[in-house]
Amino acid sequence: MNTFFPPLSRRNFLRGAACCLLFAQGLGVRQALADNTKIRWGLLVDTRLCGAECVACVDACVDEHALQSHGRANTDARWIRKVRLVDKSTGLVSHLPVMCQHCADAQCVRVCPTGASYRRADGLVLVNRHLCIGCRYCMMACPYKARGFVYEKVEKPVPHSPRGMGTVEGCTLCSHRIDAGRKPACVEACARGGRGAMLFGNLNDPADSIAKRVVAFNTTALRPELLTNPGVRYQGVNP
Amino acid sequence: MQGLKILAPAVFLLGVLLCLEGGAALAAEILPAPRQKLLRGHWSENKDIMRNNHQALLKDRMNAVYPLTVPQQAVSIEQCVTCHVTRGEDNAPLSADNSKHFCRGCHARQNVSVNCFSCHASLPARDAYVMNKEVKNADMLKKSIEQWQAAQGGKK
Amino acid sequence: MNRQCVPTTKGFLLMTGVFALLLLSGVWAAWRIESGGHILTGMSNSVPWGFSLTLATFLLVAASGALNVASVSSVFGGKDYKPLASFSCLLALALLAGGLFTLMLDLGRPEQVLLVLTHFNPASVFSVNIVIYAVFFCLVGLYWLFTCFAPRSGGIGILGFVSFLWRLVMTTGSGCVFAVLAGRSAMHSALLPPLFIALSLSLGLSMFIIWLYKAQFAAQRPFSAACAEALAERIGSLLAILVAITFYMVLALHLIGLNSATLRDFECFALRTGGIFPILLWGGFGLLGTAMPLALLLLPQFRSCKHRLLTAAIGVALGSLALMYVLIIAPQVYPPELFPGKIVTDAFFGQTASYSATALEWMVGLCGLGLAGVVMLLGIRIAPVLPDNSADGI
Repeated sequence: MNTFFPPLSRRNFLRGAACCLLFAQGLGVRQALADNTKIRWGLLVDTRLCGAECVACVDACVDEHALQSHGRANTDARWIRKVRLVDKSTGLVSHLPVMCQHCADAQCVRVCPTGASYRRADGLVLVNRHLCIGCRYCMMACPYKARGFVYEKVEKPVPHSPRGMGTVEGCTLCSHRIDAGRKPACVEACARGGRGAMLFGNLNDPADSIAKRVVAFNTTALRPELLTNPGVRYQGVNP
Repeated sequence: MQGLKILAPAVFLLGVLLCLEGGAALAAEILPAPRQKLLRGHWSENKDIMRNNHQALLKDRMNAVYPLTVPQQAVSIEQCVTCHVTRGEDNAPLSADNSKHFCRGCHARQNVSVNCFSCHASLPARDAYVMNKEVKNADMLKKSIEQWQAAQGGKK
Repeated sequence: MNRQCVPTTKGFLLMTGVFALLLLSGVWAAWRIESGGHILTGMSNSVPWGFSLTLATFLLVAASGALNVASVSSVFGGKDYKPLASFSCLLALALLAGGLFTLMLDLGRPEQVLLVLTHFNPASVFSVNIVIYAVFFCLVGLYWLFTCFAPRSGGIGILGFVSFLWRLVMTTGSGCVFAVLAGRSAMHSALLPPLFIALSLSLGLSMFIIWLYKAQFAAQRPFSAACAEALAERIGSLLAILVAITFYMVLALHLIGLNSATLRDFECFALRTGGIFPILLWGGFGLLGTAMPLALLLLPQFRSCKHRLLTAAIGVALGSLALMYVLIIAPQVYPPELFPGKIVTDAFFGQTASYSATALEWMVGLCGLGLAGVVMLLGIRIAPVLPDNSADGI
């Protein structure tokens, strides 16, 4: 008698097969949940439309998340920054906002010791402040200096954007707004100001205008050599 | 004599275990409500259920927000403090900086520190992003709860 | 050779007092920072890792190097070093404890540190390092107990060998914390882990020498004269070789950087224009940490110089600290190469950041040194670690 594979009754065989199928399906479901390829939120910034003196996106972000200014530029929280670039060879001047790039292969997610820095299935890279111990390794790892640290007590936290002293934070792409079906505050402010330089949408939906423009035009990523695959693309500048 | 030396500690240990189990059983009496009811109907059961289990409830919701999947409708402690309000002399709600805040008052008495409000807002929220449909209108809800409790009291 | 516990002499009490003061003031400083926020330090969004972390890394690298003497005695057959093997193990444990304590105190939320164990991220070098440190504690702790209480047992050889391998793993881990940061090309070098190993060798031995002198002061008893002289000669030559190896590694790192298109500007900054950084590199590491010790240890003119070994060791330690400061802080202060080929007129992305450590940061950093000292003194007090003055040789 074969002791390794004792003969199975038909009932037991069917039971086992059903379990295997369920297990496989469960794996498949988990895989699908873990990487929702249907949605990848992203931004497209047209730097040609970005104004030289305009800081509407910065102000909107500060208002939305109640980022207090203490007059200390080194340590004040800024989740988005306006940058002015002058090309060394051509002299071309461009302006663009720089924020967390929500990379698909995020350095910060890889180095976080507690997994507080994580990538949501719809593409946003966020910080779970319940798990953040404030080691600031993600700040060292981020190629875009996108993460900031909370150096002082937060006086009046807003309900939709909890943030506290001793944790690391960064642009959330206004996840609370996205979850409610709206656009990030910076994108809305840019549109309100008449410039419309920032476009928000689902990069994985071919029907979405952002996906169409990313396919049609020459958009670039910041620090492309690092292969971070960011969700924020820029048009009109070759960084 | 030798037997007693082994027996006595064994009896002692058994007694300790029984007491612990008895204590657990006693504690179990305070949470008869099934989990579903606990999460959704916490205001309608006796206060002791929430007093004993709100830590587990908060932790459960805290961990549920950050799975690898897209989070469901946001659940946050700001929703709790929207109803659980203590008001000051000028009828304005008190924030967690004040020792009479709903959570702080009880926690100060129990000498358990909580640092939820070092990050979370502690004043009632009317924010559309924070309020789910259960607590969208806190005043109306409070009124309906009071009416229901009065009805319960009347039945007894 | 006999080993004995150190009695409570005046020197012992004085040393304990000094180290306890460092420890307590550091803990107070950490409490201040935790209640008042990291605004009380000099760190900023450009320089998230400051001087307290530099000192922590310094202690961690020194910890693995402090095991040198024990490794030489049991792995490489240096029987003359056997009396000091026990002290070497104790020092390694003490310095590691000190370094980890400073690391923990520097966190934004130190009370949550257990989350690293409950929510373990195996992809993170930090997390993996925690496991490595824990194994190091166990291995070297066992090794120390054997050297103290069973110095002639057969297990010492195996323990010594495994501890030697593990300290190499540990130093590689410490180097990899910086070397895996692809976003910071000044740190992202394959040479960094070997540099850390070389640094641990020289720094470890120099710290061992300094702390041995401290322990002797505490014990108020020197070694027997013959033993001390012979040992000093051998340790001195070993230190000279290790200092030379470290210098070679640093030289290689900077030469490669100078020849790299992306790193050339940064190297000019670190070596020439960067203010404090060239001073620390040339003066601190080059002069104080390499040239001076090599001259003292190798040149015949200084052969009769009293305390030349201790002076050389102090020079090496200070030079290593200067090097570590430049390795960790300079790449943060220098603007990132976010937009190559472009001039950036933005303070955050385009200009060199400024950083200066505040007094609280110094205190938190030195707290680790304090803890290491207290652990070391406690160890030599309660366990037979230090060889006594007996004239029956080694």
